Amino acid sequence: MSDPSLVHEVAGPGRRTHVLLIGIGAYDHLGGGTGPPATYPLGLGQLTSPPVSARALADWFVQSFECEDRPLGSVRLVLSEPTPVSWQHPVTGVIYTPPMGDLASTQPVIQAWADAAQDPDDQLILYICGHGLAAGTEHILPLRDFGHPGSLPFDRALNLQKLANGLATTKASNQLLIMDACREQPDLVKANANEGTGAIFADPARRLGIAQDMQQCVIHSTELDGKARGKPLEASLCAKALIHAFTGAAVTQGDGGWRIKSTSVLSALSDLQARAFAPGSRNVQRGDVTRFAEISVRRLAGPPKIPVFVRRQDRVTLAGKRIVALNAITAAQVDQPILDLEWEGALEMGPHQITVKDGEHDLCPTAVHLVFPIFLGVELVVAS
Amino acid sequence: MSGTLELRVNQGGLPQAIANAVVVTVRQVLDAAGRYPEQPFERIVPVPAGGDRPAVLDVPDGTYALSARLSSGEALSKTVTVGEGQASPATFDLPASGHEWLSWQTLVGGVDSADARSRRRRSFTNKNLEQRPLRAPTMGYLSSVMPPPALAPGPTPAPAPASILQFALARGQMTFDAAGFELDPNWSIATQSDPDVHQWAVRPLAAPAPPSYQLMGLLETLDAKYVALLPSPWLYHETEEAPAQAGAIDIVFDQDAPSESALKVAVHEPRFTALLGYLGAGRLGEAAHALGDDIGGEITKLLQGKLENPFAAAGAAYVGLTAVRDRKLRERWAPWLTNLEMWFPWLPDGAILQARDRLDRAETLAHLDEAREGFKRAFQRGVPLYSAGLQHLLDGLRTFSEPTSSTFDPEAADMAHQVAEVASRVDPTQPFTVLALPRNG
Repeated sequence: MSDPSLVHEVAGPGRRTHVLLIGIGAYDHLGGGTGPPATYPLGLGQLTSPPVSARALADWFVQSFECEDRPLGSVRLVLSEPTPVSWQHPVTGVIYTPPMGDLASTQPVIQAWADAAQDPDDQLILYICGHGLAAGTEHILPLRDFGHPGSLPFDRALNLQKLANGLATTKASNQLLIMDACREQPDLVKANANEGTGAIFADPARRLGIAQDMQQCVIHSTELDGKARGKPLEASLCAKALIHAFTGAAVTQGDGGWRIKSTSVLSALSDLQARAFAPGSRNVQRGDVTRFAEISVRRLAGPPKIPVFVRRQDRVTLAGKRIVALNAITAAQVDQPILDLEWEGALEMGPHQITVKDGEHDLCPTAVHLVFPIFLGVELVVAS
Repeated sequence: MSGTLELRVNQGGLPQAIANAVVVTVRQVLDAAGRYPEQPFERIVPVPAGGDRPAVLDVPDGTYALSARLSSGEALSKTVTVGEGQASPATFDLPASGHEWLSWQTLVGGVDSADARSRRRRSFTNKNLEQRPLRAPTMGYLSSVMPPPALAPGPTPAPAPASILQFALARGQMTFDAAGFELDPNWSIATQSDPDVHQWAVRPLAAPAPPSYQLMGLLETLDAKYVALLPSPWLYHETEEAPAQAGAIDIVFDQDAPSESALKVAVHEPRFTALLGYLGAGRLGEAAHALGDDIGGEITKLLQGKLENPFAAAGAAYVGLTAVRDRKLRERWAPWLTNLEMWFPWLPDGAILQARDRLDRAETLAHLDEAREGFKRAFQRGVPLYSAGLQHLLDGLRTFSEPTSSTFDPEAADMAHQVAEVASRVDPTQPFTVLALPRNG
C-alpha cells in the first residue's frame, strides 16, 4: 500500500536524511471546528500558520537540502487543513494529497518515517507545528481530532517525551526534532501527566549491536510558558528562521568542513526569531532545547551565503527602491529591486558596500558591512 | 602572525570573581588581508566575570566576531580586530541586576535584570492591571530528607529511605508541619527582599564538611507549595591550595514569574557557575565548553573528587552524558559513576547516571537488565537533585514500559507513571529540582 505522506524519495546506497513535516492547523473539535466540540477545549481554536509552515519547509527540503554526509532520502508531509488540500512538488510538479493529521493517519506516518532509516548513520528530522501544551518536562501536541467525543482528554495527541523516548530506540543515530508550538502549562496537562501517545514504542533491544551513540536533539521554537508565533496564513517565525538556519545562518567551520550543527541551529533560531520583536520586548520568542545532542545536521560543499536584512530605522517601506551590495573583495555585485518593507536576501561572507538606491540617487550614504553568521541586519538612517 | 584576545565579562555587584561565567564564541570573520578566511579560526571558550585575570586566547591576526551566549538564550555580540603581537581586550557588560544580592541570580538567568524587570512593570501598567495578587511566601522550612546517621559514605548502600516521590505525589494535600520535617538546625538562613523578589541565602553553620544527606527547602505561598532540593554543602576551593569552603545557596522567589517557575535555586561557586546556568537552560553544548578544553579530564577529576562534592560530580556527568559524543572520552570517566551510586545512596542522581550510561552503551540484554534495575533503584531513592535527572529517570523507566516490547517490566511502567506526575510539576528550566505543587490539591 502506498504511503500518502511520502512526497519525495531518493533511493541509493549510503546513509540518508529522512524528513517528516507535520502542520496541524485545522482541529475538528476545537473552537471554530467542524465537529462536535471537545469537552476540554482548553481555549484552543483553529490555526492557519502551521500547514503553511510545513509546506514552506517541504518546498525548501526538496529543493535545497543538500548534505555531503547524509543526502536527502525522503520527505513526508502531514497537513491538517479545513479541507484536503494538495501539495505540489516544486521540482517534479507531481501533486500529492498528504494525510490530514488525525491520530489514525498520523501514527503510521511517524512509524513509516522512523522505519525508513535503516542505517544506524541515518538522520531523522522531524518538524511539528500546531498547538502545544506543557507541564514540567512533559509536552502534549494535539492532533486534528484532539477532543474527539468519547476520548480521554489527551487520547488524540502526541506526547513529545514518549515520542522522543521511543525514537531513541530506533536505528537512526542522529535525530533532530523541532517543536514549533506554544508551551503554556494548563492545569489539565499537569493532572494528566503520562497521557498522550508516543506513536513509536520504546524497545531498547532494537539498538543492541549498534555501535553508534544515539544523538537526539529536541529544539523548541519558544521557551517554557511561551507562545510560538506566526502571522495568519504565513509561515511561522520558527519555520522562516529554520529555513535561514539550514540554508547557512547556522553554519560553523570545523571538523573538516562547513556544517550546520544543532547548537548553532538553536542560536540562529533565537536570534532570527527575535528580529520580529521590538528591541527590549519582554515577549521575544527564543528557541529552547529540552534534549541536547550536538548533531551535524548538514555538511555543506563550501561556505554558504548568509541572510542579510536591510530596512529603514524609521520603518518607512523600502518597496520600490533598489539594493546594491558590492563584495569588497571579489567585486561580485547584487542589484535587486526591493519589493517589501525591508530587503531580505543572502550574501557571501565578508565585507560588502551596501547602498539603497531611490532611482539614481542613494537613499543614504554607502556603508561597508561585514557579513558573517548568524545574519547581518542593516538599519538605514535616512535624512528627512 | 598572531595576537591575543583578552576576554572578560562585567556583571556589577558580584560578591566574588567567577572563573567561568559565560562561554563566548570567537569566530574569525576577516584575515589580516581583509578577506573572509578560507579556514576561519573558531573557538568556544569559558570567560570569567570580575577579578583581574581575563581569558586569554591566542589568535591569528584578523577581525573577530565575539558572541557571548547567556543562559537566558540572549546573545551579546562584539567585533574586535587583533593585530600582530597585539593584546586586544573585549569586555561584555551583562545586564545589570536590580540589587547586589541578586547579581548572581541575574548572571545565571534565574532573575531578570533590572531593565527587564522595569519593562515588566511597565507592561503591567500598560494592561491597566492596578492590582496584583499578593503571593509573598511564608517561609518556610529547611529540612533534611534523610536522617544523617544512616548515611555515612562507604561502599555499602544505606537502607533505602522512604521515597519522597510519595511525599511529592501528595501534592497539595500535604501539610508541611505534618510531613515530619522540621527546620534543620545545621544551616543558617539570611534573607533579603524587595517588593517583588525574596531571597534566602543558605549556608551550613558547621565547618565545611562533605555532604551526607539531601537537604531540601519547603516554601509555601498563597498559590503553591514548593519543594526545592538544595546542593548543600557545596564544597569548593578558591585555589588548589586553599581550604575547602561551602558556597552559599540562594533560594529566590520572584512573585512576578509564573508560579511554576517562581522559585529559583543557585549555588555560589566560581568554577561551576556557567555550567549550572547552561545546564538549567538545557544548553548542554555551552555547558560542556564551560568545563574547558579537556572535558573528559575535567569530568574525571570531579568524579574522583566526589567524596568532597558529589553534587558537582553529578552535574558534570549529566553534561558529559549528553554533550560529549566521543565514546572513548566517556569510557574514561563513566566507570566512576559506579562509586557515585554506591557511596551516595541518598543522592538518586548517582544511580540515574549509572543506569543511563548502562542503557546508552548496552551491548547485550543483560546490560539492559542492569540499566532497568538501576533506574528502579534510583526511583526508590527519591527525587533527584538535578532536574535533568528527573528527565533521565522518566525516560529510563519509560524505556521499559511498553507491554509489547521484549524488555517490558510492569514495575518500571508503574514507576514511570508516578515519576511522570512529579516531572509534570518540575521547573525544567533550572539545574536543581524545584517542584511547584498546588496549594489545595
